[in-house]
Amino acid sequence: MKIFKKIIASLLTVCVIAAGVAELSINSANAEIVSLYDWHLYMEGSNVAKMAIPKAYTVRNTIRTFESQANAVFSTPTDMFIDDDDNIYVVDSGNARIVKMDSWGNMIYEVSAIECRHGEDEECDHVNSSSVLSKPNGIFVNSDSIYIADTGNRRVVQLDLDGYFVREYTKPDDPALTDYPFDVTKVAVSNRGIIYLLLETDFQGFIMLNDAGEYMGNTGMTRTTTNFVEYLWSKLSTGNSLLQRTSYTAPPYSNFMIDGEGWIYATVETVETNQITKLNSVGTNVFGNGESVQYGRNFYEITDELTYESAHYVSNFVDLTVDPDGIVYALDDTLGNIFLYDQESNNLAYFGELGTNRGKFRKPVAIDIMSDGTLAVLDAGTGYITIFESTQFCDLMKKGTTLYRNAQYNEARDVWTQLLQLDANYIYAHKAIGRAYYKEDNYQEAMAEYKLAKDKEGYSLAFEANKSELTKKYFFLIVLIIALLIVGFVIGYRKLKKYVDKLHVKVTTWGGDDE
Amino acid sequence: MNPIQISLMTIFHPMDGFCLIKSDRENFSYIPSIILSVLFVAVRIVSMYLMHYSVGSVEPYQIDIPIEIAMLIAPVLSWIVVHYAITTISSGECKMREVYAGLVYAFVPYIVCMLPIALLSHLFSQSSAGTITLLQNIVWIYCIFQVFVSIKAMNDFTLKKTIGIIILTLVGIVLCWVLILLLYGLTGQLINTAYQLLVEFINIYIS
Repeated sequence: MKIFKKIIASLLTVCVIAAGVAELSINSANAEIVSLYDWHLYMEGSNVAKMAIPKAYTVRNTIRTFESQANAVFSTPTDMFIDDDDNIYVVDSGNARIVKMDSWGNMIYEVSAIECRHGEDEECDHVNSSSVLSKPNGIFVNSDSIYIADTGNRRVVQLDLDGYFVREYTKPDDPALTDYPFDVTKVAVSNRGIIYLLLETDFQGFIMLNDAGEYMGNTGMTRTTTNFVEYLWSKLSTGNSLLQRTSYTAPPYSNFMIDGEGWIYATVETVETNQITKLNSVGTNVFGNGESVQYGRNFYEITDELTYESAHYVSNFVDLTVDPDGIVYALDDTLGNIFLYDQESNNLAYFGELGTNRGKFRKPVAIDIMSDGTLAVLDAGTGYITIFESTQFCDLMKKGTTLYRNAQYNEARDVWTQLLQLDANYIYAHKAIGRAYYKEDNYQEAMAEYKLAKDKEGYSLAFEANKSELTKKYFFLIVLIIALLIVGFVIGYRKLKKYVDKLHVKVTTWGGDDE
Repeated sequence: MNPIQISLMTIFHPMDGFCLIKSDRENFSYIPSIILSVLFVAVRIVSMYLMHYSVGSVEPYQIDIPIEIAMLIAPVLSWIVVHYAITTISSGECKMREVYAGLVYAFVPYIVCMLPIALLSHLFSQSSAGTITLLQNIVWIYCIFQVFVSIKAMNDFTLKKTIGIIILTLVGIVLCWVLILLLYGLTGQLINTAYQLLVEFINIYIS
C-alpha cells in the first residue's frame, strides 16, 4: 500500500508541475505582446551590438479621439509641437487644420480657417492670400506665436497663441531663391527671431529669414557622398540618366528643432551614418566629436529560411527632440524605435516597435518631450498620440547624465552605481562610471570600468594617463631598468655570438674533414 | 649537436645552421622538432591571451583554441607535403621529415620573440598599437626569410631556383586545397546518392 501511495503522490506532483509549466508558457506568450525589457546599443570593437536592459519607458496613455466639432480623429497628421506649458499642437494634414490640446488630450481649440482677431482688421484680409491651410506639414510654437509650414500654399503662417492671424511669410524676393518652389515643410524660430525653414524640393540645408521675412542665406548644407562604384556608374551612364544625377544629390533633412541655446538639431535621411546632426551657427555638425557615427540600427535579417533571402533594415530618422539636459530622442520609422543619445553620441537606450498593440506604431512621424520628461509620439498611420512615461531606471539614467554634464562626477558616479544595482550589465553605466573616474584622475578604476564597458578608446585614454603619471613618479627607476636591460641584452648577445661562432668554426671544419 | 645549439646556429649562421639538420642524417633526433612545433602552437595561443586588452584585436573569450590549432596545422601540413613533392622532382636533397625539421627550426625566432612582445604590449595602448603590430610583422618576415634560407641551404639551390620552388609550392597548395574541397563536395554527393538508392531499394523490395 505504501508503494501505491507513493506512486499516487508522485503522479499528483507531476500533474501539478505540468500545470504550472503550462501556465508559465501561457504567461511567457503574453509577455511577448508587452515586452518586459528595452534595448541598449553599444560599440563592440567597430560593430554596434545590442543588449537588453530593464524597461525605460512605459505607456501612460494613448490619445485617440478628442472633442472636436469637425472631426474627432486625426487624419495623416504630420507634425507635433509641445510648448512650455505642455500643450500639444498637432498638424492634422489630412483635415488641413491645427489642433491644440492639453497634455491629456483634451482639445483646447482647432484652427482650420485662418481668421483675423474679431474679423474686422482690413489690412489682415489684404495680406492673407488664402484663408485655409493646404497640406500643412510643420509647426513651431514660441512664447507669443504659432508658426505653421503651409506647404500647399507655399508659405509660413504666423498665428498668435489664441489662433488668430498675425502675418504670413511667402517666398522672399531674392535672386538666390528663384530656382526653387517655396514648399516649406518644417519651420522653427530661434530665440533671436530668425526663422529657419526646410523646403521639400531643396537640398541646400535650411533657409534663414529675418523677422521681416527677408532672405538671410542658407545654413547647414549636407555633404554629398559618393563611393567608387557610384562614381564609375555615373561616368559610364550617358546623357541625363537618373543614375548620373541621384548619386550627387545631398542627403535631405527630414526634420529639425532649435534648442534653448540656439543649436539646430536635425535628422538626415537616406544616409547610414551621421543621421543625427547638431549644427552650430555656421552650420557645421558638432554632434559626436564630428566623427562618422552610425546612429540607430543597421542589420540584415533572414526573412525566408528556405532561400536565405534577407532584408536590410536601416534606421530612418524622421524626427527628434532634445531635453534641457542634452539627451537627444530620435524617432525612426523603419522599425518604430526611439533612440536616446547623450551629447557624446553614446546610445543610452532604445525602445518602441512597429505593431498594432498599445504603445506600438504603424508609421511614427513626430516626437516631442514635455517639461516632466514624458515623451509624446505622433503616429501618422493610426492618427494616435502615444504618451510614454519614464521608469525609475530611465530617471536614474537621465539624472546620471545630467550630473555628469554639470561636472558633478562624484554624484554622477553614485547614481550610475545605483543603476548598476538594477542592471549589472548595463554597458553605458560602466562607461559613464569610467568617464567619471577618468575626470577625477582615478585612472586605475577608470580602466577597470572601461574594460567592463568594452570601450577600448576610453581604456586607452585612461591607460596613457596612468602611464604618464607612473612615468613621472618612477622616472629614474624606469630609466635604470631600461639601461640595465640594454646593457644586459648587449652583453648577452656578445657572449652568445662568441659561443655560436666557436661552434660554427667547429662545425665547418668538422664538416670539411668529413667531405 | 643539441637542438638549442642547432637553433642558435640557424639564427646566427643560417646557411650552415640549416645544413646541420641533414649533415648527420642517421643520428638526427626528431623529438626536439616535435617539441618545438608544440611550443609554437602554445606560444601562439598564450601570446593571444597575454596580449594587452587595448592592443589585442581578439578578446580572450573570442579565442577558439581548436580552430586556432587547425589554422596552424592545415597550412603547415600542406606546405610540407607539397614542398616535398616538388623538391623531389626538381633535384632537391631533403626527405620529408627534414622539410618538417627545417620549417620548425625556421620558426624558432617566433617562439622566442612572441611572448616578450605580448608582455611588451602591456606598455602600449590602442593609440600606439601600431608599434606592437610592427614588431609582430618584423618577426613574421624574419621567420619567412628563415624558411627561404632553409630551403636554399638544405637543397643547395640557387637564389632563382629557390624563389621558383616557393612560388610553385604555393600554387601547389592552392591546387591541393581546391582538389580537397572538390573531393569533399563530390563525396557528399556520392554518399547522398548511395543513401537515396538504399532508401529506394528498401521501399521497393523490403517494405
